[in-house]
Amino acid sequence: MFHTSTQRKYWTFSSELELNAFREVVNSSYIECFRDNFPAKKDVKFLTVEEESRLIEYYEIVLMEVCDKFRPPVPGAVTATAVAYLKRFYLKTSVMDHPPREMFLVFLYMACKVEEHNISVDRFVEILPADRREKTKEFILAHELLLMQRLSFHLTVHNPYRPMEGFIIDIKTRCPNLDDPEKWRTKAEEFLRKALLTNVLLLYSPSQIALAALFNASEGSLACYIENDLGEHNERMLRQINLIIAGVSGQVKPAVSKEHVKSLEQKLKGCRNPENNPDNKLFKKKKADKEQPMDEG
Amino acid sequence: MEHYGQYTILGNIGEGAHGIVFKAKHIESGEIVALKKVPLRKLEDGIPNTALREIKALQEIEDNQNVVKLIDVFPYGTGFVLVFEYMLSDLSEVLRNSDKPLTEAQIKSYMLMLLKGVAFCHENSIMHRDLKPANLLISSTGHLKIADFGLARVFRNEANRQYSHQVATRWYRAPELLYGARQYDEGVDLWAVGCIFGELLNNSPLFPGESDITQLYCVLRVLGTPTQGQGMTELPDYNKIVFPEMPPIPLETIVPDVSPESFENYSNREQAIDLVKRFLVYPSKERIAASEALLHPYFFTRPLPAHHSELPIPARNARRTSGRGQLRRAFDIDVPLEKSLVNPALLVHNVAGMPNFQP
Repeated sequence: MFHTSTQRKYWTFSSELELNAFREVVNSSYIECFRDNFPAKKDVKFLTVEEESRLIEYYEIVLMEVCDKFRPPVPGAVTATAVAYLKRFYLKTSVMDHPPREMFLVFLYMACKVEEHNISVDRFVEILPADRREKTKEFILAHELLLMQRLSFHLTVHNPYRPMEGFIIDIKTRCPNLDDPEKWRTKAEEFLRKALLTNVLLLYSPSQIALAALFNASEGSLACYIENDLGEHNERMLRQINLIIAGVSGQVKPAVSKEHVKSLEQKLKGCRNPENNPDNKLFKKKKADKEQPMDEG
Repeated sequence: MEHYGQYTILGNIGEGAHGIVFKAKHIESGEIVALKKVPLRKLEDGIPNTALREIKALQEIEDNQNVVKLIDVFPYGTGFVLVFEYMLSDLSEVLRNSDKPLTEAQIKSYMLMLLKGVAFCHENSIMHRDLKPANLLISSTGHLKIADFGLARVFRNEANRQYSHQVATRWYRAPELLYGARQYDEGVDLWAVGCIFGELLNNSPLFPGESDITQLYCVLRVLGTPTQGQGMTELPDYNKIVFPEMPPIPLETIVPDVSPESFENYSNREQAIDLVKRFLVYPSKERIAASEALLHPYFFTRPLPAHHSELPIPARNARRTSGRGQLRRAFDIDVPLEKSLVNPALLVHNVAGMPNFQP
């Protein structure tokens, strides 16, 4: 039930402004922490909030592309949950602390488990070139707990797919003289995919997003359903739906270019947290420390 | 004394499905809790699904009187710890250790609480899949709460969803699971409720199978061989094992009256048996829903359900002494003072925010 969910209580925010405030805090507290921990490192060029967002957006696309590469394909809900984890994770964590290039497969692996799309870790890493599998596997298993912790152990994600099916059934029953809603399905699913790349998942309820997807696909002919069949708050509902549609199709941002990503990744090398870099000796030391004190009765 | 995050360990409670369960005290508030440690070492595929399911199920449902409350989750070392409200005992211990058989009113009270908890889970689309007396915990106030959601699963009304059939503990396992069904529903919980009900009335398990096959035999001996249309004959393993044709036996003979009280009250006993029968039927869809069972005349027939203060509250692990020994040490007056005091350093960051605090 979405109404009592942790998603509604902890992961649905009031506005873009609130989201930006989180991102600024994450960015500035990372920089502060870095300066405290590594006072010897001078002239470090940190990523800006804007640059962090660019990288996050880029890896959302990468994540979705990887999902499409699986055979058999991962269900839409797994992709959506993985993207939701990515969004939630980077509201609490800086890209410089845990770079998305390494983390995005952790999001996907956890999403597979939580959505009960059972796949062993060995099968999972088979989408990678053979020489990267062992190392990635190790990385994923070492970071599951960190992910859960940063998600405050709130693992359930409510996606718009199920509400959309519900609406389709409801429309079929209540508005027999409307177009067959099945015709809208392809376009609506496309809308939901696009929505994954925006902030609407952090701002609106999944059923509102689902309704917006159908409304958009119906090119407005669904207005009568919302006006006649969805009770007294329909005006507010229509406003919300239009906001979602604007959020998804309105602001068409140009996709981040490969060159831009390259330069950002280059910059990230200089400012990332060395303790979380698997190739750094500080990381190896931290890992060894952590494994020590676990042997108690 | 050992510390886990904000908690001091007081003793061992037992071994859970995925790890040790400790009794502990929240340092700051003094609240007594149960800590369930989920270790993550040596696991091929990382964090086990059972642990994820338990967290998922318990995080998403609101508080209910008859479902054990997850207070907190925190990482510890390479694993994590689930913090639950502390419960004194469980129904299997109540059944085992009661000096005298439960009264009709007490049984009715347990059934009422069990059904409320199950109805709540099912309303929230969670099937527990492993209901049994050992998973029904009893609080110090006598309340029954459903625990151990390690096998719980969020169910969806998708007709073709496949599930594992090796779920519930054998004695309480629904016949469709014994026949290897991969598609099932919350009816598996309702079967288990029927078994638990029978066990409460009978003071011994209804279908104590010693293997999966004798388990089926136990069920068939009572319910009779399934016929066409009861949803059993089409199941994967139905033809793998053939039992001789058996007629059903009236449940009245299986669940004889246990307490002298019930002699005086035939209608109560009839109602009880009628309700047991509504749970223990082959077609899963025909088993009475928990919310509906709560309205069964049984609950409105005298004797009425006992108040929770009239329920037995046995000591946890009365026979095991290890936990008690550690407990005693925790309150030992001979222990040097500095050892029994809480290290102030552990409290500092909780108190530091207060205006008058000076370290």
